[in-house]
Amino acid sequence: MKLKEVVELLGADLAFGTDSQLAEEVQTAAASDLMSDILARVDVPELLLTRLNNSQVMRTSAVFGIKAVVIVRGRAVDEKMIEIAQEEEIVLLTTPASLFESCGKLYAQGLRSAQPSTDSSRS
Amino acid sequence: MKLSEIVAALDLEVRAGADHLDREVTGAYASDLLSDVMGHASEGALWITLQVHQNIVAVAVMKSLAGIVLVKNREPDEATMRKAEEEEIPLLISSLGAFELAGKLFGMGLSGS
Amino acid sequence: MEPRYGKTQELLYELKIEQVMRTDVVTIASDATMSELREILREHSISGVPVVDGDELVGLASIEDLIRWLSSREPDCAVHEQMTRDPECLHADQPLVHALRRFDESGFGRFPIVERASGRMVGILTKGGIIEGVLRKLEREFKEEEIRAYRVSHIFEDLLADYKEIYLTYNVPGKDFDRAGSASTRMKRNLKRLGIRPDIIHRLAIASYEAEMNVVIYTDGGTMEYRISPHEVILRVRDRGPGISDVEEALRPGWSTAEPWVRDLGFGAGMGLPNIKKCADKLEIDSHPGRGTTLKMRIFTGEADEAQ
Repeated sequence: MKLKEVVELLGADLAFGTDSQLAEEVQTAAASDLMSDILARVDVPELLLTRLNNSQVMRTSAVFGIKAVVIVRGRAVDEKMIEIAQEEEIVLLTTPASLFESCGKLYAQGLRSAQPSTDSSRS
Repeated sequence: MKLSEIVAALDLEVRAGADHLDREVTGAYASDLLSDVMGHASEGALWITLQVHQNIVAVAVMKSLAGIVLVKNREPDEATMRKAEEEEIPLLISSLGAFELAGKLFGMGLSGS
Repeated sequence: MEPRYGKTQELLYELKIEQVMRTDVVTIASDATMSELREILREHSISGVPVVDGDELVGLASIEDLIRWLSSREPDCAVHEQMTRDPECLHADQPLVHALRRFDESGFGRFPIVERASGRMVGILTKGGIIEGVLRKLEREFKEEEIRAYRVSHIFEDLLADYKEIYLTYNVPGKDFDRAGSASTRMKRNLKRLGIRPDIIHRLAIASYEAEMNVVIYTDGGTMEYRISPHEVILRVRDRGPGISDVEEALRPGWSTAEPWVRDLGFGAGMGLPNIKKCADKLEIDSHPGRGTTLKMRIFTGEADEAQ
């Protein structure tokens, strides 16, 4: 689904995201509150759902190549997070929904977890 | 919905509390932050997490949760299993990640609040 | 480099209709009225919509149909009385050049796009959509070209020396959580510009970031030095921290001395060092309790067989 559809589905507020970013498709997602867990994955999800709202969430997403971050439970984002989102071209959303409910709704719309890529081909 | 139905439907492995699967599950909560679960999970909820430290059992007891599901085949510590058995907290394991597990439970009709 | 017009033509063959069509199609029911059509066109600022009967596409209603109806001064009527019936459809998997030809030949403003196998409508294509799609693709290719010009192999080829390397250093202040990770993200951008393979950048960025977080969390600060040579990147992370008492033990997943506030930030689960080890081709840890730690990791970039 398109990121703008994610915004609608989760009743989310857009903290940062350009129109062309919001027109991008996402197919994979992950939910975690442990950045170390994200970093140890072999798969890269396009969307990250978390309750954490600190700048490390954004840095981790930048390092890992995540396209969009959804902060759940209506937790506020600060200036620094928005600044990194802008710099690193990451869409940043906040939703009042819980992590469980957000995952449930996105899963129902066809989003899945990322599959470990076995493709080590040169690009 | 009974916990045993969820265990069967999602093919969960039971590591502790096998005698307490007839509990009614009233909702679900996904979080890896103990303080968050302490603050927001409601009684009777099934907790989805990747934390395996024994403190998760204490949190589940204090919040009267229906049980704990560890994601991505995480194995609990020895101490965690012992404590869960003592405290009668079902400790389950899923091969799925938190996102997909939450997705499937939501699809079965569990609510998030 | 080929001239641009050649490139554009090439793109029209290369791009498929499904890559540029709009998928969020606004439709109107065949029994809706013409005044409802006017509202829909105005609300979405579009010039035409597919007319559907349930799921089935039965026609196209455009601003031209609307004007014709308005000027005839006839009473309000159902859209299906004024629409263009059995509109020509294109297939989603056809090349863009085919669509362009049909626009020219027919003079139509839009085509419904259907999936070849099912005949189901999956999108709509306008001339504006084609232009947008081509521009987007051109922009992407231009960026890639720019990166190619920067490629580390080119830089190394252009410089004359017996031994060449690029040396970059970053200072990492301890306990500064707002800036924590900025060395690694800046470095990641550099590596992209240098045209290092994406999977290698990914591993390097993760190893670098984990190491940087360790410096920020556990020490009063340190430095990160990257040596980029034609075949490998060596990263040395030095800190003035307390040191690691048992390196072997620290590499065991789950081992951690992190305090709760670190865990609340999403770190300190004892996954950092094992992850660094997994990402690096070689890892050496030199640590002296009380004097600090130096991590040295090597990652082979495979640039040698990449350079042409």
